[in-house]
Amino acid sequence: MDEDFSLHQRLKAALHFTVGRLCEDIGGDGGKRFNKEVLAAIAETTYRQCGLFHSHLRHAKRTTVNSEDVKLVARRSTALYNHITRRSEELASTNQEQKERRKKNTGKRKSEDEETSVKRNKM
Amino acid sequence: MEERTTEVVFKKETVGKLLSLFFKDEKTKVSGDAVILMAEMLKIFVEGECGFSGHDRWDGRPTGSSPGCGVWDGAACLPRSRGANNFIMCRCPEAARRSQKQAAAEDCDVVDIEHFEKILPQLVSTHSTIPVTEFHSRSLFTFFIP
Repeated sequence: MDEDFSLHQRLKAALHFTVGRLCEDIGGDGGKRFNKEVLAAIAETTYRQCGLFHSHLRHAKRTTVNSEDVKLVARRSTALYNHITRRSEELASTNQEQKERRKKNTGKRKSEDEETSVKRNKM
Repeated sequence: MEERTTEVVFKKETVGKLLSLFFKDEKTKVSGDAVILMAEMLKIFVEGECGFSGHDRWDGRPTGSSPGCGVWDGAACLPRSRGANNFIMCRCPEAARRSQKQAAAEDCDVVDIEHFEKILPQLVSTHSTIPVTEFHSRSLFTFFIP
C-alpha cells in the first residue's frame, strides 16, 4: 500500500517536472512566468487526464493496448485524430526501417560466419 | 538564459509506468508505440497547439485570427457528443495557453492561480468528471509547493 502511494507520488512528481518545463517554454513565448500553484494545477489535471485516457483505453478488452486504441481515443477531435494518425504512421515506418536494418545486419553476420567456417575447413 | 535545443516531451518511461499503474488490476499492457502516442497526447493536453501545423483547430476548422491567438477557441472546442469524458479532454489542452492569455489581458507578468481559476469554468462543464470546486481548493496543490 505504501509502495503504491510512493510510486504514485514519484510519478506525479515526474509529470510535474515535465509540465513545468513545458510551461516554461510557453511562458518564454508569451513573456510570462507561471506561478507554482498554476503548475501544480496543470500537473494535477494532466494526471487526472491520464486516468480518463485509461478509462477510454479499458474498453479495448485485449491484454495489450496498441496504437489503434490510442487513435480511437483521439477520434473525438478531427485535428487531434489526424495528428495522432500521422505520428503513428511515422512510428510504423521507423519500426519497419529498423527491422530491415536488423535483417541486413543478421544476414551480413551469417555470411561472415559461413566464410570463416569454410576457410577453417579448407585449412 | 541558455537556449533549449531539445524538445520538451513526457518521458516514455514515465507515461508507460503511469499507464501500467492505472492498468495494474486488469493486467493489461501497453505497447511501446501506444506509450509514445499517449505521451504525445499528454503534451498536447498541456501545451495546446504544439505539433499542429498552421492554425488547425481541434475540430478541423481553420482559425482566421492573428498568430498567438491560441489554436483552440472555447466555442470551437465543443465535442461532437457532450459526454463527460469528451468535454474535459477537448477543452483542457488550452489550460496553459489560456491561463497565459488571461494573465496578459490583466496585464500581469506572472500567471497566477486566479488566472487558471478564471478560465477553468470554460474548460470544465457540470457534466465533467472533475468538479470545478475541487480546483478551487488550495489544499489540492500543497503537495507540490514546498
